[in-house]
Amino acid sequence: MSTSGLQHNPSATGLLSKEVFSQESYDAELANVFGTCWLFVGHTSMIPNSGDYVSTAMGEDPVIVTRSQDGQIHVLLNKCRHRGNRVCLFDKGNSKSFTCSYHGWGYTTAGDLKAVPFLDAAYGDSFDKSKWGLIAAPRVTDFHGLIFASWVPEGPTLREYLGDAVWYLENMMLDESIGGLEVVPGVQRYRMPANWKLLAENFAGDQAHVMVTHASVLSVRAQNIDHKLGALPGRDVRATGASYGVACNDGDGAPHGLLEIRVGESFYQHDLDQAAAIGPEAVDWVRDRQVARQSNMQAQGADPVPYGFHIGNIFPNFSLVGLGTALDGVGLILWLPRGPHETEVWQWCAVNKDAPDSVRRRQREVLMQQQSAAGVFAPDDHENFERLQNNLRSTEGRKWPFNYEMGRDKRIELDDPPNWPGTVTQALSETNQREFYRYWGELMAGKE
Amino acid sequence: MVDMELTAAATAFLNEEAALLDDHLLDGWLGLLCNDVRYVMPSTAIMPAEAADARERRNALRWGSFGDDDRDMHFWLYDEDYSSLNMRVRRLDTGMAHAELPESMTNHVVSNVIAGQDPLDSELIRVRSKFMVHVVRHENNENTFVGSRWDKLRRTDDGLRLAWRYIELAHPVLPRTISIFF
Repeated sequence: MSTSGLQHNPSATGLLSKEVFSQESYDAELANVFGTCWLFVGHTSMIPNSGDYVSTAMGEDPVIVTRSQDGQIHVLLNKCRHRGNRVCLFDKGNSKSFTCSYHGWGYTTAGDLKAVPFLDAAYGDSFDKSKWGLIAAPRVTDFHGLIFASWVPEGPTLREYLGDAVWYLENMMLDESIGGLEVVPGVQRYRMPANWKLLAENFAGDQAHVMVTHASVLSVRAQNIDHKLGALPGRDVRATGASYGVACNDGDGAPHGLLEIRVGESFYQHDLDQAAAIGPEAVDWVRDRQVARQSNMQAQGADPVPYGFHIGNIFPNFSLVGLGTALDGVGLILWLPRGPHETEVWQWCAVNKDAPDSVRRRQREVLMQQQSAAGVFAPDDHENFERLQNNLRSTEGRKWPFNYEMGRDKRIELDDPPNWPGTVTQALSETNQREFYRYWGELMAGKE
Repeated sequence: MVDMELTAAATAFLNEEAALLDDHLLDGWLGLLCNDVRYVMPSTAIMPAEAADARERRNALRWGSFGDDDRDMHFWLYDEDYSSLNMRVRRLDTGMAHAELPESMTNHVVSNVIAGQDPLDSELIRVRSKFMVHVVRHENNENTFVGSRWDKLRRTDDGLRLAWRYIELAHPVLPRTISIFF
């Protein structure tokens, strides 16, 4: 990048230079952002048994997330050390080894090189197999089932990196107090012709687009014509509750943005009504869930106790979807960079491990119908991103900065702000987006 | 299982359906569906070669037999009933569904139709077909979706109606998000 990333910090001006989306920025961010940050690579429930593996990616690099024979989780670069061929060709499976189809180098699920054809006939004693295993991410951490990896051997621990987001993830998003989540089989993958940052920042804090981009969903939701869409809290439910944004690690560290953290009895009542149409076991589960979550968060001093979250982004490119209801699965989304003008989106669906089957089915249906590749939300976002990305290819359009001034000068002060971790803002604010680019700029400038 | 007469009838049905979709006559399209229709489209995965029994299970799933491995707990692209398909059409009708503003220019090309009597239900015929759907957005954003369908059509007093559709896209990575029907 020709100029310092810090010059693009919109916290200072509210404006963002479109150089942030250039080819030069892209080439640099693959190393400065994706080469240094903790990145989500999968969930432990995808690889429950020894020998299980799943193929995912860190930035542009394909990785294999494996559980080796001793039960350890490894994140391995999916590239043979000999000539760089892919050694794992499948999305998921169970295997004792990965063998390259070019010259037959074979690796264990821990990444160790174990087979080299013609080893005795053509290699001397100086060849040391132990030095030629698959490249492994030096740090891998299992956070309540979410597997994160980093290419740098030292630096903040995952918990330090998540910072303020730990509390929200543990208590509200991953439902640790009621048995946690598991990912159902199947991954959706699709291309979106837009820079990955525009998608990640949208999930970090873009409350303002919902009423416009997704007006059709809100309109058809009000008509009450489909029971699955009914899971989405309607206007009346939202009107009687409160909704906040949260900037985690505001001003210092990795910025994780959470959007529409919801408070209010109406959300709970809405879920009870929805559950009643499923069956008594669903009502019991929603009630038990509420009691467990309430008492857990109250014991920690949370005031008020949040009911649910709509969406959020863990920097840089991992988003979660909750839609503010107990009856939605938790969407796990990776925004994988594929050039300055293209993103490959990978999405999974997690459901509550200990919920009744009827609830788990509904969670899956609701997420699939709403925030997913063929859902009622994502295609409308796609349309906008496709059009605005064209602006970034426009010679004249590129000259003019984007505006991120919402909620910068005019803050609507919260009467009785929640005492949760991080900076709690009104939902209508671009604080989280400014924070996203603040840290992106620091990384681009080489700040550790 | 191929029945020439049923194949001709099924081909006529699928062609009429494609014309309704391409003309954006979606209420007409809904009219071709049974009230108890199930319309599913799994995500496409690249998996190790399946053993023969796994292939058999997959084939049974394509015709709507879920068996005991709970395939319908998978994260699919579509898993719709009449109510949710109707909701999707009503959403497009709001005039605020940006994914279809302006409407996509689509061409559903249907081919390789094979039809025969359903072995389990005398009212149903089973139909396999291939499709290519060419989608144009704006000036020149063009994508093509390619795939196969496993349909069950029910004989009714009003003619054939769609009771089951299983869509298998040939795209492990979709070229774009989906706001159309196959």
